[in-house]
Amino acid sequence: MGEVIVITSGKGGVGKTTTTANIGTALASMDKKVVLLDTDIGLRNLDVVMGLENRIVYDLVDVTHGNCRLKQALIRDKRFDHLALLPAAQTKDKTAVNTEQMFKLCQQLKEDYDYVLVDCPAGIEQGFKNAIAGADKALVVTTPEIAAVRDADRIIGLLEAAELPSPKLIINRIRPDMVKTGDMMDINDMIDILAIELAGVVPEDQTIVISTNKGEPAVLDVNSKAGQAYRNIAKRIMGEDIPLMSFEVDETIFSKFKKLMGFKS
Amino acid sequence: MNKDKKSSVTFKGNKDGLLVLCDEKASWDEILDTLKECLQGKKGNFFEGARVMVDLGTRTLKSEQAQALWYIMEKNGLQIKSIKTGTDSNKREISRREGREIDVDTENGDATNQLPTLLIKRSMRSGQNITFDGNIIIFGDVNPGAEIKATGFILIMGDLRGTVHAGATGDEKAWVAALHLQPTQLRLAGLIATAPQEEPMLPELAQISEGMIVVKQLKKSTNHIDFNRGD
Repeated sequence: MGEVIVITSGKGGVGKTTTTANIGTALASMDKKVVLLDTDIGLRNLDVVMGLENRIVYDLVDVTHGNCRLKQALIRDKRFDHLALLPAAQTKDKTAVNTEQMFKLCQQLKEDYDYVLVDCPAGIEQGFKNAIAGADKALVVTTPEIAAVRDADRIIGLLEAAELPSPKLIINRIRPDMVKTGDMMDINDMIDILAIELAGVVPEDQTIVISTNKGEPAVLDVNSKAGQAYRNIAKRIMGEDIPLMSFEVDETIFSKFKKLMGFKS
Repeated sequence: MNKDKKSSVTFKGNKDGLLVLCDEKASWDEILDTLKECLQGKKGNFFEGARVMVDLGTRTLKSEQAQALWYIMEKNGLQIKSIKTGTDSNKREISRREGREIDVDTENGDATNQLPTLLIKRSMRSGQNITFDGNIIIFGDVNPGAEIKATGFILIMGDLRGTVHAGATGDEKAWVAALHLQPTQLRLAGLIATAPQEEPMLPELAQISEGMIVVKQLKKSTNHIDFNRGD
């Protein structure tokens, strides 16, 4: 019996889908059986990020409406045999599925997979309610922006009300150089407000843009810092105790020299 | 939904949670007993975890009564979201209470002491709100996007970053205090203020003094803290 983890944020564009794809791929690369469930009906993206959009025949709504069997709708990943995707429907909307159907679906998937990762749509309406319906745990993604943190706070409140206590936080797209100069909220500020446990911090990374467009999750790129951060989060989900990555700003020889000379860098 | 025929308490579910309507004519003890029975009986588990809005009709609550109500709800795993009183003849009720406050004020010098106080033992997050006819004490933070409204004072044993309104029905003696007073917006009776940019390091108290909202450090005096006297 596996566990269902919902990845949610409230605000759009903070990286829920990227996070789902990367953590899912990372878990699969560590020999776990993983299924990714896209619940963003009408605005599906997870298939694109995974590079599987041209393999979709059936989708989530087909499964819940009984148009096909669950196994028929699951798309096997190109890279890992034990990684699967259940895509959302693109031509329907969020009301095409209800919470009961989602709960049943999650229960069914849990039986065959170690991890069921649910990619939640933005917002707090039906789509959100569907996404959390079958979840055992929740990961809340936020970026170091006041708007994103506030939405995350709202989501945490709703998760608590829905009896999904102690969600964990992923801080995405942090820029250590800007934090250092005081132009960006730092990790402690965010934890102070949200008061939940941190699952990981992912730095802003150009390789994410490239890998997302290519449909190749960044975790497979050993040189990607964001990929490394996602691998660490996956390990923490598996119960390993991994310390947070340090984001020391790379110092050039010149700036070190200036520091030695007593100039402020 | 519970449709007990002669029950003094009616449960109604809506999308925000559970609405508990208390019959105005029933005695307070009767209401408490019915509540206990409904929540602890076989139906008990059904309501567990629900967010509850209690509507007491024209009844006003004494602080012990509010506490008893709160205790019953907490014990049965329910979360009180708001308590409404004086919902029917709203205006008359408020003016009558204020009249009483003024009487009390001259005798005891502390009107807010006469109001029931609601204790909240968790943080208030964005989108959560509490409206209470009385004072509110929160053991936790009030985050941006949360709204707290009380007719009496509001004391926050944590960081205040959201919106608060003390003295919501016009009581100019109402005050707001927090360990970290940095509200999005602070309203006292009819006045509105926003927090300055710099972060406060010490607990602070906001109150009305000469028609303005004045914030000062919350200090411990040797005997007691006289919150109601502006200096």
